Amino acid sequence: MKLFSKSQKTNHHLLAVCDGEAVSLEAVPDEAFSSGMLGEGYAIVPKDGTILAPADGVIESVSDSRHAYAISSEIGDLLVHIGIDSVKLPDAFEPLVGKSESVSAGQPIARANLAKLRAAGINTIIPVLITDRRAAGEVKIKCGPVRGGKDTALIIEK
Amino acid sequence: MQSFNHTLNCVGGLHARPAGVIVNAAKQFSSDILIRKLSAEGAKEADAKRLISLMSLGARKGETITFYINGPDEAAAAEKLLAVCRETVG
Repeated sequence: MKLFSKSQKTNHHLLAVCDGEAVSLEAVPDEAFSSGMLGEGYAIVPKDGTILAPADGVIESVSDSRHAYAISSEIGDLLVHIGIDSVKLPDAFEPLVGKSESVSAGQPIARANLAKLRAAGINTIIPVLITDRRAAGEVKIKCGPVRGGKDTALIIEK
Repeated sequence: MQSFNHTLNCVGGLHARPAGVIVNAAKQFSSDILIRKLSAEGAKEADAKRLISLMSLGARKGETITFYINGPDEAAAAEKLLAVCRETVG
């Protein structure tokens, strides 16, 4: 019993991927995210365009359009999706990591030009999804103002 | 084994939303479902039940992906996925 007690109490965390306001996925104005079809998670209304890794892991892919970052982590597969319909504006993004690169929680993975996105009429909200979860437990979102790379936005409680 | 091709006609190719539609359809079946994309750099393969695997194919509009379905419900899975590709993914 004692052998297991430590791991059973270990909660998993996802950090805020930037400064801003953490909200639930239901607040994302795109059904693909708000319905939970793509996975559980949280979203951030960003104040700052430096986007950070929410957890330790390995970059599985950076989309051609440079707005979506897939990370394989201990928690499961993670997807950081910057903006809604931002697939149309790849020039607004600068990836700071590449495929197969290891990243640490809080490490910058991309720069997003939020002003450019807004000027093009694109909603800059950032869904952070667990598309395939490996860590068991109850998912809890911490809504409210968050500091990127410092504050926890999602906890998986054992 | 069931197999079919689909040429992508969706703007932005196989990004999060269309990939999610395929994953959700694929997860309804117990068969193994593999998607393969041929390109100048060679063949890439993805697990159709794993979103980030599908997205890492980087399949663009105009490119053709091939589904390979293997398992007890392969015929039903092929029928469903073909319909999803034509009607929803584009």
